[in-house]
Amino acid sequence: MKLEVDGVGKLFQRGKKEIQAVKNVSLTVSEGEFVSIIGHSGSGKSTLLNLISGQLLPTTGKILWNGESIVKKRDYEAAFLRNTLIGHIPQGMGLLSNLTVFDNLQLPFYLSKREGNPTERAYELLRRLGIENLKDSYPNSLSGGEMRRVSIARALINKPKILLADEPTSDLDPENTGIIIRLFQEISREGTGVLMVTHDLSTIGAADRVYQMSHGELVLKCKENITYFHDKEDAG
Amino acid sequence: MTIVAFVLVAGSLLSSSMKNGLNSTKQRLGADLMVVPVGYDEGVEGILLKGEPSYFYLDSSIAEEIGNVEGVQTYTTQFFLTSLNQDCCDIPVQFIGYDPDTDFLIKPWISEVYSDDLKDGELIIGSDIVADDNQQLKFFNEKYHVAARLAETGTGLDQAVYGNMNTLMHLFQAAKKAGLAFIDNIDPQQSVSCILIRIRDGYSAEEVTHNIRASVNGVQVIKTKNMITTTAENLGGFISFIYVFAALFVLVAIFMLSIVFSVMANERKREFAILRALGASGKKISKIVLTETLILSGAGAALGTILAGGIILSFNTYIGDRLGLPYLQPAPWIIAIFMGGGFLITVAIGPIAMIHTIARLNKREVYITLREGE
Repeated sequence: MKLEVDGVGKLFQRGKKEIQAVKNVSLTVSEGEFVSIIGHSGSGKSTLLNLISGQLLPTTGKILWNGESIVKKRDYEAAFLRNTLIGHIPQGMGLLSNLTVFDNLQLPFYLSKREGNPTERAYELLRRLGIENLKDSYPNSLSGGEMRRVSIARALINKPKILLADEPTSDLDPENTGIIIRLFQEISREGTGVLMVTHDLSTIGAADRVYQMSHGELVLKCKENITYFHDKEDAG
Repeated sequence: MTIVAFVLVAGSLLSSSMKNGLNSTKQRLGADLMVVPVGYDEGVEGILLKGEPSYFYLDSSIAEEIGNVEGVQTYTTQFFLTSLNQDCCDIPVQFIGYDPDTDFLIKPWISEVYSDDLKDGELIIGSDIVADDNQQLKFFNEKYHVAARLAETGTGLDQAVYGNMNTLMHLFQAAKKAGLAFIDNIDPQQSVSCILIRIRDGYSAEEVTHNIRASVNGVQVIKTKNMITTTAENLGGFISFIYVFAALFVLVAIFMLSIVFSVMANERKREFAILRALGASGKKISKIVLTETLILSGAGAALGTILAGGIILSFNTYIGDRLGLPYLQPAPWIIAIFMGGGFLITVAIGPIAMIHTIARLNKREVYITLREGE
């Protein structure tokens, strides 16, 4: 399973003003890779993730999932792809407040027609993420770190090929940040690709590849140029 | 939704009952012309349409004169009497005495519920009147046997009591014995209250009316068609108002609901954005929203339909009395159609009002743009 982004650009129209949120971005992410994109707020990171997941259509360029263009797919086809191949951890907490943790976790399973029962997989993820005791809790009673772990567990319910994480450690303390990043490392070692966008420099040491995004443009960075951490064990 | 369903169902039942009452009046009137004493046309209208008891008399010889007028095919006479709301009588009612030998209006109607000839001293009562356990009613301190009860007509005739002329004469004497002064100067054997006429083929109501006026003094000729036409015009205006009001109400409801749904969708943009991010298509989200709308519409429609049906049908008699117009509840299957139709139209209003919002939800990039404000 390989994600290819080739020369992708996105232009937004705001009244008479045109905003080039993403400019000629190219990158690849394969299964088992941990790729990080670092950049300030407003650099176009989240827009790039939404393009990759098919929620936005690019103005220029191609986005290929295993050689198939997501741009040419109809909305319901792109949604199905997003539901089955991608695990999306949206910015912010992203949990539905009227559902319990357990129900939030299983939600992606029920968004597409599929056979089976997600209960067993849900219990497995609760154990793995260390949130078994929160099964019947509601999001408004959880801490930031707990909510983020629920969000990650939910993204993994359908066994995706690639995980897209949008600012997964924002608003978290260093301890919880470390827990999340170690999780991503484990997930990538198990064969799931991880593409994380963040402005938190302390997390990028864990990634296999780091890009920097600024004013919509993407540039590959050497990890040695990152000043905070030199190896994965120090992340978090 | 509840209010919309209530307005639609109640409006349908009211207008249908009024139309039914009018048709029933047309059927029950039967005669082409009615001859009454001068100035008593409103009295007849009150009896027939509003159930307001009244009495007035003509010399019975006038009936024979009218029978000889050109254009009159057949005629029959009726004798009116009223009871009072006093100890002498169980209830205040309109008595209508008919001549079994010449009658062509009441006998066919009575034969629907009573196959024998009505005996002297026996009464047939309108649908709104109830006899005691022994099937008797007391009038002017005398007990009379009730032979049968007529089906509802939705007219003032539902509050009338019918008997042959001999029975009416007996009632008349009983009333006199009971000391009722309002009928002192009348010889019942020589009096009638109204003469009902069927016109011969080839003659118009206007022609025969003219002929009667030319031949007979001291009488007023009522064209029953005019009576019905006036009532129909009044009803028609009222029914049109109901339809227009209901239609406008539905349009306003759709407009208001579309705004409400749009605001609700906006309030839920975060929820929809999460669902989209997790892999829900625009169609899926539309389906979720539509299902919620149908549940809300259905619940509101059911409540409104049940309330409207319950109130209108339970207070059927009261409504008819208050309106003062012919009012007859339609058949159960028609009621079921109106209630079912009102329910379905109301349920449909929800999704119709939702169309614009669903179109917006189906746009691929709406979720991202919706969230831009966050």
